[in-house]
Amino acid sequence: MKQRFLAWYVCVIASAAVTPAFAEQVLVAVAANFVPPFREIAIEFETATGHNLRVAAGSSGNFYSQIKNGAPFDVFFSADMERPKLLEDEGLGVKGSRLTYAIGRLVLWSPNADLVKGEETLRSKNFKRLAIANPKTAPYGLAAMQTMQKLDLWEGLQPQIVMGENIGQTMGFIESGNVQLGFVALSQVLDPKIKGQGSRWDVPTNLHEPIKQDVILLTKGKDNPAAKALMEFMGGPQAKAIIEHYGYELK
Amino acid sequence: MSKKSLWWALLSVSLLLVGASTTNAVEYGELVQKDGQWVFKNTEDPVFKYMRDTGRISNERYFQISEQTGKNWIEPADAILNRRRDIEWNRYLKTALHLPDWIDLGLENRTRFESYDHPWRAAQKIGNGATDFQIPMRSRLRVGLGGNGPLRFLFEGQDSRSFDNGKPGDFRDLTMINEFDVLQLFGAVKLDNVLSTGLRTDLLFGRFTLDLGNRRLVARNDFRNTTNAFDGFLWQLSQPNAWRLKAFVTETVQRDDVSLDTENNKSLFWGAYFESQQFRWFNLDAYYLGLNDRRVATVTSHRTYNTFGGRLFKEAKPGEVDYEIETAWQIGHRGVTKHFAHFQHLDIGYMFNLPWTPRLLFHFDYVSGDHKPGDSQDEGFDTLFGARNFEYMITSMWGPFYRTNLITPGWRLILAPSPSWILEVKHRVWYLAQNKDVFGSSGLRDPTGNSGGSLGHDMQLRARWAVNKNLDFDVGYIHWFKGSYFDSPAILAQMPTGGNKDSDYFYAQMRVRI
Repeated sequence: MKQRFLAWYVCVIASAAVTPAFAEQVLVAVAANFVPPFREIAIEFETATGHNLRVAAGSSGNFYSQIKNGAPFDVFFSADMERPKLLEDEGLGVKGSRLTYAIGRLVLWSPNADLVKGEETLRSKNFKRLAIANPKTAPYGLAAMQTMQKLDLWEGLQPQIVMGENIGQTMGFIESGNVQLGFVALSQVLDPKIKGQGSRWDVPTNLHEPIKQDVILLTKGKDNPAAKALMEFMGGPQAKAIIEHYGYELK
Repeated sequence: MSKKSLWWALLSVSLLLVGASTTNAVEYGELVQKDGQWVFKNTEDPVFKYMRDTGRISNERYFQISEQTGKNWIEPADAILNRRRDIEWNRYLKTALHLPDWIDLGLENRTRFESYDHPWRAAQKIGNGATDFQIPMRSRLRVGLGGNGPLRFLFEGQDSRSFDNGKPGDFRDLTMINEFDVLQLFGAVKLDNVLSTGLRTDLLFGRFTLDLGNRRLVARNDFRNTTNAFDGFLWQLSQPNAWRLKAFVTETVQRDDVSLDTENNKSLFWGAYFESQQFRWFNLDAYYLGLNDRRVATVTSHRTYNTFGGRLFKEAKPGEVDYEIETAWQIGHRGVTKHFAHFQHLDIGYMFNLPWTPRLLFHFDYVSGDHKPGDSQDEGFDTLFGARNFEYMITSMWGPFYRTNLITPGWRLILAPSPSWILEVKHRVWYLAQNKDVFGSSGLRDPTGNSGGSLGHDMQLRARWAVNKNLDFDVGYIHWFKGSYFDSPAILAQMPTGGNKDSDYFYAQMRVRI
């Protein structure tokens, strides 16, 4: 009896001890604009695979320089295509692993429910200031500039344009009431905190270059099964549904 | 089953429970370099994380709560009145009770042990220089409604009491005790982007506490166990992050240690305070404060003061010089006596771009005292409702030096070994500005002026550890080397025995906010 009990005990403890051995940990860098959907994706991924995720959220530029300085990230979700491409070229990313996981949608948004009525709002110039992210550093700022150039409004609106360092700061200008309207990401406007508020115009995608956001498996994570599993998971239906729900388009 | 088997079984079940616990395997944080190594630093709040991991709050709610910091902070109505660090912390209780975002609920308790020897106050005749100690405790409850506005309501109650200080000669007054009282109770209207100008305006009516500028003349008391409050109106107009103007008309609240505090229409306080942050090297404040205090029957104590002042300063930054200049001029009447007094302050500091970011700061204050007591002119500066702790010395049962009748140079070294630790060494030398005038609120005075004005100097050591915004510890020690003023026969006769000997003060406190 005692021997049977001990055998049962050893089996139980062994199984409890072995289970976590299959769970690997993956260290992920996620661009700030993609954090809200990634939170949902992380839960689904962890539930489906049992792997652990450590998530750092921040600016793509900062992550790029951290990775170049030896930061041991396994996977990098960038807000653009350029930085993952650079990392791949520099030998810090696994060749052929790059994937466009989301295409951002640009919107013209105002907290004022009557202000934004399509491109005619821009043409009327019936506002004091218009916020955009810096086109030199932010993909959404570049798309905003391209949109206004295509509408032949870029030069005429110059005196009214206020530039944010990034898309987060641009949204801050508008939310604070300092600027009446601006070009931001649809995912920001769909944030539960402000969803349904104000007025918006979803900028047609033919007015600017696609705002593609790429993910890359980094060389540090090339032998990590959890990192590979995350890359695979991003191509699956669960992740795609969440990404679309947050206002991004897919390839 | 044998006893041994039963133990094995219990151990197994406990191990299984640990193994099967629903710990969430997703962690959020940042990657930082420490001693040349990359380290993942978890930035999640452990209490919220625990609530999520144990299913007390949903994932969605967890992320909502986690985001309510920085610009996403749900601003209570008194955010325009008081320092943000006094009112912003994680609301664990509110979250655990599943209250919606438009309700604010917070509880705070601070308990301190403090002790000092060789009392010098004229009122402390008994004591014989023995060490005196007490345990002051301050508890606050705040309930707010309305979230980010535009209509908001705030109640804040405060209970201040002190233990082990009931013996004769102990320090026990309205700066220490004010049981179960209303500290703030007001309604507020907030309008962002007034008439599409980008300006914000706020209007408040009711009882409130108030910090103005660097809090030298009007402050929501921090270290003191009780707190000043005002009943009336306050209006603010601001261009966020650029400038703001506050104007107010109030009756001052009179504290009662056991009954409810009341306002007094014989003590009116009003003013306007302008702050500009347009230029980093020249942050500018300009103000006017009016006081008409006729509460006591003694006409000679009635105060009718107009205080005009300005402040110019630059915030401290690593590798940069910083400074602060404040000047205040007071005119009016004290009873039938004409009043003209002034206060001058200068700080020059430098923050070294080194580990622990040491900041060395030199202070100088001149605060006028009464040149010739009994004549038709009063020159003793009145600090109104100001705070002293942050630049003179610890207050509470200690705090000999008031912002009146003083000349005081000094220096301070501040070190920050980590973001949660602050270590401080301070040294100040103290002189009376006018030898014939009273020394602070001690009751000591030599009308002949023969005792001189050398009050001595003090060294203060202080360490603060903020575990997080919800829990902090603070410990400090002061040695006051008393000056020759206290050895003169005229002053010795007014003090408790041993009052001329050096005094030591020690305190240790803990604050919990949920």
